[in-house]
Amino acid sequence: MMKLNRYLFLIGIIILLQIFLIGHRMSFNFKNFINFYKKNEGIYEFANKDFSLILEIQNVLIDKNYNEISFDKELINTPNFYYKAFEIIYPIKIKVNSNFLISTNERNDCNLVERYKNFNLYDCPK
Amino acid sequence: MTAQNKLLIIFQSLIFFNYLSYFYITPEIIRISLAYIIIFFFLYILFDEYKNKNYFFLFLITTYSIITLGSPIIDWDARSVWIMNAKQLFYAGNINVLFEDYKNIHWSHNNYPSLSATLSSTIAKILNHWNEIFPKFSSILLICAPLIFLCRLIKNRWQKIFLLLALLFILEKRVINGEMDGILSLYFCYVIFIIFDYRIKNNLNKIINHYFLIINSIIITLLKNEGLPALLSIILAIFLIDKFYKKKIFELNTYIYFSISLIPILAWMYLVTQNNELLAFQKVFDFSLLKEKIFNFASILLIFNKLIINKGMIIGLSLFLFFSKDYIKFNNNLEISHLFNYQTQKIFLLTLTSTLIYFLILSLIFLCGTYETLEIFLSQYAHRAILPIAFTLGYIGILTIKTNVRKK
Repeated sequence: MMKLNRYLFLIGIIILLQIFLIGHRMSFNFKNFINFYKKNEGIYEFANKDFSLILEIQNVLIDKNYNEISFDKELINTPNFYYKAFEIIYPIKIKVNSNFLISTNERNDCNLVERYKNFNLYDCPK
Repeated sequence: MTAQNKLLIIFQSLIFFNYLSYFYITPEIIRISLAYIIIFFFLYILFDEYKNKNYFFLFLITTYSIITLGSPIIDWDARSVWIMNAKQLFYAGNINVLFEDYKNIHWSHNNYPSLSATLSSTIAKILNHWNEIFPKFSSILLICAPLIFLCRLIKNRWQKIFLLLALLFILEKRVINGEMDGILSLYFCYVIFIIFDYRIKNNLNKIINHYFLIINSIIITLLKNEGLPALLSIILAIFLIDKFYKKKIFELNTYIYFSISLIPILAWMYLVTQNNELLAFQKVFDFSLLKEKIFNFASILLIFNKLIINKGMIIGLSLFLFFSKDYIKFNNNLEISHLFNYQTQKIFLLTLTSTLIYFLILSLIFLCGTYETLEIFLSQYAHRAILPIAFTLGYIGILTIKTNVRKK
């Protein structure tokens, strides 16, 4: 009986460790758990440090109430930027022929709408 | 048909009805009501299982729910395919959005069956805004029925412990991370046992039994593209067993019920084709490659290597061989083979044939796949594709632990 209990105890530990491992691999976070019902919860983990720019852009676009936007070539060619931006800012759509353009560089061919810390918003009439 | 199964039928019908609602312009109020009804039924099922003292299931669901609600969506497929589709449906409220947005978002595979995406989208309506955590809870709703059914078949403590180990070590996070591979594995095993249950209860005349079979067959095909080959491999296995075995598993009309269950996925494929997405299918598979690769021994060896030598398959196969060794050993000895339960022979035969056919279909998919190189395709997908086989073999092994393999 003692031997059986020892086995059960060992298996219990293994099961518990595996549950913790699954939680770790899924980036379980107690903060997420208590806030699972809040708007945009969990998006910051996806758009990690490298793409915090997308979150800034998203906030600006929501403030301005834009439905579509375009990005300059440099941003579009940044690895993984386009698809991450598409997924995060949706339902605001990325369209090549949109009047509004986000760029990290200075541009003379468009009218500057507003200058932000990490990017500029331009109006490029087509 | 038990009261619990009736509850599962209502719950799964609601999930399917919710899927259908996305093909029409459904008022917001109906969708929100549907979300509340689905959650209500889910809670009622939990309460019912509590009354039936199915604490093992409750432990599993609670653990899975806590992890799901406390983790963002990280994995590529979950994020960019299933949850992105759900996000599009959440804002548009209609399935057409998946086809309209396709050109801009080709990586999101909008042509994949969208049952789970519709469910995620609907339950997000409860919050009335989008976030990256709660929609993933649809995985918990989808695994509810198969888990209850599979938990109910096991009786003793050791079987429960090993089922828990199989779930945690074979399927790992794939049941709840927003991907469909783990859920498909549960449904593959579940449908095999539903068919068996359907046959041994021998009450083929009750409409509700036919409906139970049909609704689950529909759900497995609408989970992801591999659902259709999974169901077809089960049907083919039954057909072959019936052909070569003395007593038939099914009457002819059961094949008609199976045909009915294929209608939703065929309708989906037709819709995709109508929206010019056929190109996407052609890009993924090219059957002309089969001729070149089928005689290429190195390719076949590589496919078998990647499909069999991976963690999930090794655990599943080990559980199967370890626990069913008594059955295999005794059954080979003809003098005592009559000691074995006739039904057990059938379930062994059905499971092994289904898994073998599914394995062959998977091998064929890898041979015809045009996704970059075979090595990349296999390294990214083989360990996930094999999960239905690994889990089903593991489960059938677990069922034979000190059970009714031998007649008492």
